[in-house]
Amino acid sequence: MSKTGKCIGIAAFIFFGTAPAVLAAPGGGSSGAPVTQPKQNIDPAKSYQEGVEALEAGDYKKAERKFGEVLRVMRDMPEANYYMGLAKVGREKHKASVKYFKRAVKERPNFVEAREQLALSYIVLEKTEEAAEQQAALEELKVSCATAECDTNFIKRLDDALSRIALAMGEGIETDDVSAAPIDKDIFAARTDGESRYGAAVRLINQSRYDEAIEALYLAQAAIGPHPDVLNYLGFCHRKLGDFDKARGFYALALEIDSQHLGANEYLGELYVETGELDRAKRQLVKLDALCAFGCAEREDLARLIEIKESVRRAER
Amino acid sequence: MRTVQIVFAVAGFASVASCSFWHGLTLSEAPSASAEKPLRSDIELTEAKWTAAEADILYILTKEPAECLAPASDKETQYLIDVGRTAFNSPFLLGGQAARARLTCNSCHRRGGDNPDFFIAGLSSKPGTADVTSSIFSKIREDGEFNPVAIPNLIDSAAKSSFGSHGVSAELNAAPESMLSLRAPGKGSLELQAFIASAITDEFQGVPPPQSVLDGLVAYVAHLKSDECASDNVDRTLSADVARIAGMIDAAIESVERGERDTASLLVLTAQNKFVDIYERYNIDGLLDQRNVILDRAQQLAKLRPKVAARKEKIEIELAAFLASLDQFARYLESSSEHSLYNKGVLIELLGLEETEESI
Repeated sequence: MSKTGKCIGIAAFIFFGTAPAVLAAPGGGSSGAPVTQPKQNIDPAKSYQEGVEALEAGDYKKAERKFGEVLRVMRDMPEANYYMGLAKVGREKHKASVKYFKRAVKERPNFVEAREQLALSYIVLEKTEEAAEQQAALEELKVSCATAECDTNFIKRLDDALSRIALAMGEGIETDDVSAAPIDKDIFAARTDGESRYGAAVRLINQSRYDEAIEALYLAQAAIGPHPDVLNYLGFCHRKLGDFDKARGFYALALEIDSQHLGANEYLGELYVETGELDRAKRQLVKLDALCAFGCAEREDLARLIEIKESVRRAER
Repeated sequence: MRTVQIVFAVAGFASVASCSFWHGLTLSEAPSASAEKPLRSDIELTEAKWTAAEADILYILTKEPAECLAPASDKETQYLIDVGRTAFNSPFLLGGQAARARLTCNSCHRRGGDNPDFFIAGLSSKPGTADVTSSIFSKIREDGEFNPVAIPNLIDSAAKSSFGSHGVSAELNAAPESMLSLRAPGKGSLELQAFIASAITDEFQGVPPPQSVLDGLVAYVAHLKSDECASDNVDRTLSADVARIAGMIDAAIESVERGERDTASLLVLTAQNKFVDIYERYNIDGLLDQRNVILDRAQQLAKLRPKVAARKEKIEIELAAFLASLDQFARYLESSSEHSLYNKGVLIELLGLEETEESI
């Protein structure tokens, strides 16, 4: 058997080619907050960076470990699931990879690269029907681009993915064809790129362009990993768009990573004010009092909001 | 089965995120340390936060510009100057990202002057500049361009009739009508007030401050005069920091007596916050007791503040007692200041800085 031209490239993903409605909040559910215990010694953003580096270096075992750490904190993060799937593929664990690719596409249905990898893993596992389902889903995304606004790059990615799946389905592939190939370093976004994207998101938030800010924040997160600043602003944007459940979920994640995060504690308090849960809002204020020994704007803004809400309530009585 | 070339999709990020120059207000390190924890491994001095990489950090941490403040002509003006000086140094005057980044007027205008070392990546093109029309701080002035301007020197503003990059007419038009009543009018004061009011609410998304705070800022800036400067710079010392806090409490007591509780509340909060400057200087090994004392003082003010806001009877007496206790506080800390970051030798040793001609 010949082993020609094996090349594993890791996709840096674009996930906003179609409607933003596909940007599901991690955790989900009515309460919004995933119930997990704090992982004291894990900085998931650091683990994420290390996982990406390991993947780049072809150290799939380490990549598995690092993305495992990320997923312990943020089980549904599409990028981490995708990367974990790639690490599994790198170790020829195609069956195990399926779970992670499936999670990635469940959270982000327009995640082209995850769908492609899922299809390819199914092909390796000789599950042609399931592979065809992914192929059809990609075709459907392409059709939806006829009515929705899809950028040309997104359409090209769809076309490329579909061609590769078609090729693999037609010609068949073997398990070891996808392992131990070099990874193109250029396609990984550096942390500094993530910070640029975060900066862009802050600008958009200040312009009240929350849908676009969410996209920018997801881009930042894809480069940085789960970071409380990013998660906090994801919560903020969803709250401003009226989706309190998603907002709660993001605040909970931010606070799980850093329970002392001033912004997340403040904004969760603001959410409670908006939903009329003033007792909870006041508990957040007490927490900020403890965290801000020297005073802080976050505490002051929440206090002001609670005061306004209470005076409105008094006036209504 | 034939083997085929499998190429995992390679896709670049799309260009929705167009801001490629943001590294200034960076992501925080997670998890953040609480105030109670010693931060030996993470020494951070707020004063050096917005400083260009090429700046003489040792000089900035050991010296500061002299305050070129003209004497007040009467008690009323003195009160306003004291209120304004506090507000000028308060991170609670501004709003939005600026407040969260703990920026104050003094961050850009050190003691009312300019700040040739100021730099925030994404907002500055070179040291001493800032893009004041960026939505990072406020959507109101966003112009879609990266166009930093030199930070203006506010000294001798009383004689000016135009301020900032927009000129006075734009500032006057932008300032809320309710913010344009002057308690201590003087030459150029209306224009200066419009400039300051617009900077707070438009440039930095702050809520309109109490009228006496705005009047105070105008009075303070209007009394900054170049011919009042005895020297270019003064030493950065513990006693100067404690004296600043004392001045804030003193002004707060008078605000309480005048029944200006919102102003008094801002002054007390700012004084509480200024203890962090001292805390940061003692945030090294072996000075835990000192840090606890500093924290305790800040917490005492935090407890007094609701009483100020509620106009609790005799709160001015409690504030006066706090003020009186600051002497003892300063003496206690002074006894160990040689081991703190107020000592240039310690700064050089712990921060790996080099002595320069300027900092000697």
